[in-house]
This record gives sequence, structure tokens and C-alpha cells, in this order.
Amino acid sequence: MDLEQILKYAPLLLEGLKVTIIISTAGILLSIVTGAVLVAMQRSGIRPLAVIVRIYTEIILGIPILVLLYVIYFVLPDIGLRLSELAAGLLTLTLYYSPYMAEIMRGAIDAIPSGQLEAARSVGMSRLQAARRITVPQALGLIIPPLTGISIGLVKDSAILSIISVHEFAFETKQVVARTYAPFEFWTFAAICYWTILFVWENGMRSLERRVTRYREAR
Amino acid sequence: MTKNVPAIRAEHLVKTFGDLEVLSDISLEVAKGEVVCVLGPSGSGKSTLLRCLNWLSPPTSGTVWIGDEMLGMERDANGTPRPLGDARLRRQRSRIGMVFQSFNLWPHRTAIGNVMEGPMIVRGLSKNEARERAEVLLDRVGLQDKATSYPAKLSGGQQQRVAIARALAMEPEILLFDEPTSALDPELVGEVLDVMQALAEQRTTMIVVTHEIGFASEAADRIVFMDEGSIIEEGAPADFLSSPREQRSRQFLDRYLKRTSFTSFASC
Repeated sequence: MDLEQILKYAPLLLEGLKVTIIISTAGILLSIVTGAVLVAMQRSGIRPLAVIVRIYTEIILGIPILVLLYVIYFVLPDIGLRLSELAAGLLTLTLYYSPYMAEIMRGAIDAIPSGQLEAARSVGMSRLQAARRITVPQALGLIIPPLTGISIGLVKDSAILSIISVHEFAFETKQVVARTYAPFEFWTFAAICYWTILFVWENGMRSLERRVTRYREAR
Repeated sequence: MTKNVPAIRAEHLVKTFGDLEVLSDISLEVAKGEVVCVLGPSGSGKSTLLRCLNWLSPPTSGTVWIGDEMLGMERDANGTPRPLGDARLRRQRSRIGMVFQSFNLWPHRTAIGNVMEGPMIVRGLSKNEARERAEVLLDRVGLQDKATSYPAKLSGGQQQRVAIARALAMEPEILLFDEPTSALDPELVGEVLDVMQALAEQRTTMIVVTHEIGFASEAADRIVFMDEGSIIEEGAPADFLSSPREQRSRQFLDRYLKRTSFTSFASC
């Protein structure tokens, strides 16, 4: 194990790690927003919108993320949509993960008993007020555990973007290994880094969950 | 003049779910300060009636008036009725309090939080104003010491009393109770009925769907008996309970009396 090697290339690797964190965060946020739009479309009561969501979900669930990435990066330019590596990567993560996010949100919203919303309406709350004050605070507690799992998947899948030369952590590691012929050191280092980040993330989310669900066990 | 306007008035309410007619032509008037208990076998449409009376489940046809305002509907320039905009419907609805069989408290809010929510969000009261009002109400239902407890830590009877305080916090003109004690263990029924009895004595306008005939006989000014979506008979509790006119009312009361005499015998 050559620690000096690692120190020497640390700035480059950290640069890659930064890109991984940024693109993962952006991917998580965008897929949550897109997922919310999918849920809203499905619950709009407008049939064509609901059908679009169903078809979209069916398509995405049947395609490996690697193939989706290739389609977006190599096929879309043929029909006139050329995206940068970063944009193509982000779009892939968002498209691939938004149906999962939608499913999580759907489940959480449905888990709130309808009687609570009737009670909200009976005191004169609007749908929006009821959603904000009654549904969302409780749904959050239900969303966090599955969201943690799905977002961990997204962070790990972001390494796939190295294939189209997004300069994220796995890509930079690969570059460094090619230059140093030290796969043992650098891939071990990469594994430890990924694991550490996800460990911190998971535990952070767990304590957040405890915070928002305190009412369940409280006094 | 305004004195004679009933607190709530339903005219020719019909409610169908698909082919099933749950309410067939119900008309009912409740005066200010009057307590009406609605009795009837399960499936007779009592709960549906209540849900029509606050537009949680709008009737298929018919009108409801609160005071002299038509609920959930308005007339356009030609006098044709059309659904009322959501904002105005909400304002009307907040004038009608509702207490549900399954309490429907919001589990992520404390007892006092449940009571404060409506006044703060719907009426725009400040947190302090809402808290003051909620403290008074929790005191009235005997739960001042449970203010900071979450619903999960309250008994069913306590939860239902919080739900009553929550409804009262909107200062409604009418309170609707949908079988408020049916989900409670027998030993907890009394504490809820006591609160309702006190409200009745303070001349709160109430419509109570219940199976508690004892409560109806003591607290009600009038009993309405429903079966199969229609009002079969109504009258003062003493008259109705001792000498019901209709066959179906008699059958219902007979069955009820048999059951209670058996349970009171069993508990001896």
C-alpha cells in the first residue's frame, strides 16, 4: 500500500469526489421533483396524464440504467439532441430514478388515513393547507427510509457515468490507475470513500427520520 | 325575524352511490340551540346525512341552508344553482363543526396542537391567541393536563374529547356528531357523553347520530328516527321512546331494549 501515491493524487481524486457528490445531490433533488410531478400528473384526475405516467414508468423499469445512458448520450444526438456528458449523466439519473421516487411518495401519501384529511376539511382547510399541514409532515417520516435506500442506489450508479467520461470519482480513479499502475491502492481507496460517504448519509437520514417521527413514541 | 331562521335546514336531500340510493328525500330543520339525536339501524343513512350536511359528501340533489346561506351552492344570474367556489365553501364549512366516530386527530400534533391548528391556519389567529383559546377548550373537556400529549398517548375517550375541543375551536354554529362513542371501549363512553351533555345544556346546536339511547333521552330536544334512507318518525324523546308510532321504530327500540336488559342483567 503506497500512501504517498494516494496523497500525490489526492487533489485530483477529491475533485472527482466533488463532482460525484454534486451530480448525486442534483440527481436526487431532480428525481424527487420529477417524481412529485409524476405523482401530481397521476393524481390530477386527467386520464391522459395518468396514462403518460404509466407508460413512462413501464418503459423506465424495463431498461438497465447503462442502456438508458447510452440511448441518451449516443442515440439522442441522431435525432438532434446533443447533450454534454454532465447533462446526459444527470438526465439519465433523473429519468431512471424519478419513477422510484414517485412510488415512494405515492406510498407515503396513501398511508395517511383519509379521515385525517376529512377532519382538516371539516375545520375549513383547503386541500393545499391540508397537504402542507397534515399530509406532508407525516409523509416525510414515511418517505425518509425508502428515500435513503433509493438515493444510495443513485449515488452508487453515478459511477456508471464514468463510461461517458463524466469526470466524477470513479472516472478520476480509473485515470489515476492507468497512470500509476496501482489498482490495489486506488480502487481500495475509492471503495472506502464511497462506503464512508454512504455510511454518513445513511446515518444522517436515520437521525432525521427519528426527528420527524418523534410524535409516534412521544409522551 | 332572524330569530326564526333555523340554524340548519336540509330540503329534499337525495344521495345515491351508483344505483344505491342512500338518502331518499330527507328534509330536516334544526333550530338554534336545539339538540337533535338521529337514531336508526346501521346502514340507514345517518352518517351519510351528516356528511351531506357539511358538504364533505355533497348530496346528489337537494339543498342545505346554514342560517340563510345556501351551503355549497349559489345561484347564477339566471337563478340556476351551481357549485360554490372552494374558498367560500370552506368558510361555510368552518361554521359547522364535525366530530367523527374514529376521532381523526392529527397524530403529529399534540392535543393542544390539534385544537390550535384550525384557528391558526383557517382563521389566521396568532399562535398565542390560538393557544389561549385551545387552553380554555381543553379545560372545558377536562384535558388541560394532557395539552402536550400526542394522540398516541391518549385513550380513545380522551382523543374524542380533544376532537370535540378541536371542533369547538372554530366556534361553529352547529356541531355534528357522527357516532362519537361507537369506537370507544364501554368504560370510556361516559366521559365523552358527559362533555356532550354539558354542551347540550349550554344550548349548543347539535345533531348527534348515536346508538346511545340513554343519552338521546336525556340530552335531545328531539329524536329523529331513520331507516333505509328516510326519516320514519320524529318527536320529543319521551314520546318517541315510550310510544313510537311507526312499526319500524318499535322494532328498533324493542331490539335495543332487549339487548340492554340482557347486558344490564349480565353485569349484575
